[in-house]
Amino acid sequence: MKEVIQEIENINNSFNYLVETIPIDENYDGDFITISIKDAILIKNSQARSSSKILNNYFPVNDSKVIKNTKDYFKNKNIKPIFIGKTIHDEFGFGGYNVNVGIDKKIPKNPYDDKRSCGGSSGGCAGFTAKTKFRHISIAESTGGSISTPASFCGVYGLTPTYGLISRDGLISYANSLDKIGIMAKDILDIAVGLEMIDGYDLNDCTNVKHENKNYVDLLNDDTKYKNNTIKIGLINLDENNQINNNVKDKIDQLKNNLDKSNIKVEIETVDISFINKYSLPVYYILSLSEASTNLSKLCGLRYGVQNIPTNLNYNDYFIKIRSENFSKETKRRIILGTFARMASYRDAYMNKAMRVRKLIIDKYLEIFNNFDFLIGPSTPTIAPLIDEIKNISPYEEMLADTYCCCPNLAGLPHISIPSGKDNNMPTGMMIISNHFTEDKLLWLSNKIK
Amino acid sequence: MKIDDNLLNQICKNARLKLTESENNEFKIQLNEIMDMFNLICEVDTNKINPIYHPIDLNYELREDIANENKVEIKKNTIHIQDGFFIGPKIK
Repeated sequence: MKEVIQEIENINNSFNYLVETIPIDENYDGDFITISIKDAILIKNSQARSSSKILNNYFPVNDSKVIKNTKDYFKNKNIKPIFIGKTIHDEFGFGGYNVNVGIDKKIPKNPYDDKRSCGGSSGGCAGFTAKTKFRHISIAESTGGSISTPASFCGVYGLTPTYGLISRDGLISYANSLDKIGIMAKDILDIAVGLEMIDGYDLNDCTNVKHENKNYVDLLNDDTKYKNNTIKIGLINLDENNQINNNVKDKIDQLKNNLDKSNIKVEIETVDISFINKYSLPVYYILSLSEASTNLSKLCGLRYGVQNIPTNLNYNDYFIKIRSENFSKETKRRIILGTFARMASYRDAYMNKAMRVRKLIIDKYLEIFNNFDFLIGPSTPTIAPLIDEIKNISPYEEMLADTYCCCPNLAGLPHISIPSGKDNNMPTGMMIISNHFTEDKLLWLSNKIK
Repeated sequence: MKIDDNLLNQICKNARLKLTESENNEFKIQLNEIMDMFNLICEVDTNKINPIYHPIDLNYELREDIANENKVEIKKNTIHIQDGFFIGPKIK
């Protein structure tokens, strides 16, 4: 394991992907798979800050459910999971470029060009997955695009499962009705392994839907249930002629050939999702920030996290001081917007209205999935931008990074970003979306694109 | 809908945040740019639509409320402990 340990140190010194490392038994010489975990997901006794200063020195007393499931999954297998550390992300997941790092850590760098962004918020997960030469699975999380965007920018696979499939127990919440723990890996096989390993019904999360675990690995190559049907694919967001879209078109051609070889019929046509595209971004931000502003109200420097202010201050002054000094500017902006959307005078016009528009958006998707099996389009509108350029854009412009990814996230639909090629020597991603709880089908199709 | 100084102060009070003067000036412009995006949803007719709280239907299954956390371990995360209880700032 000495080589693994050395590699972790080398990668981290150059690219800043890990905020905490976990001790590794250097004498172990059996088969292994390395696993990294987004900092927002709890591992017992490993500092968990969700990349925020306000959680400095918080050491969880329990493993999150996905970590417990992972340990159980490998118990009877001839391969050992080696947990290597916690990965950096935007503070609480607030960002599309992973430049909003709220702790004394450096911004992670893109594995293909160290002047460019890794994407966010799960930038450390994607960057490390791309860079390591060892077999690796990263346990990531997405609220509005935090898996697809970094996976696309870093040239790796990133699966965001259906909302409610994977337990959120032990995840530091951003927005409860949107958060989904998912997987990043270098190939589709390890995406399937990763999904099997974190899956498992959990009574501790009342939004976790009761279900039987599926054998996603076995189902990857199982064509039987698709042989006698025609696979219908809808193309989305491909109206501009640029290299990112051309890469998607090339992948679609490749997919058609591979389905032909397997004697599976396919029909492809363009689908209009203009309503979904137009309203998903505001609805996503109104709801995610409303939920975030309540979630973050528990962070007040008393029972855990930063406690560097004496408690002899007045009740409100204590909380105001500790929160104002330890949240980043981006977090403060988001708390303000979320608090506004929930205030009695504005709740109906913003939060409640957004919940109604969300219903319409989900209905539009479900209508589409009555006629189509999959939707395919680019994962992101651009390649990874330069970090120096991001520093000059407004918070609103940064939100636009989620334009494509926030739509399936808002509807809780499973989707995967797969590497589709290069544009200006930078990776591009293609996103495939399918109906709720059809991850097996999603991974099966992704496996046909090699 | 715009966020002006008064409204921003009220929101910050509710959110237990205090902005510096430069944050205040910077945020006002940025927040209103985002508000323009938020206001887009006003044009959607939602009269006959019920709000949803989750993207999928959930059948909440309840569990027994059994304490299983280690009280000693949990308290190691804070210095604000007295006689086995968390202590906080005074109300007044």
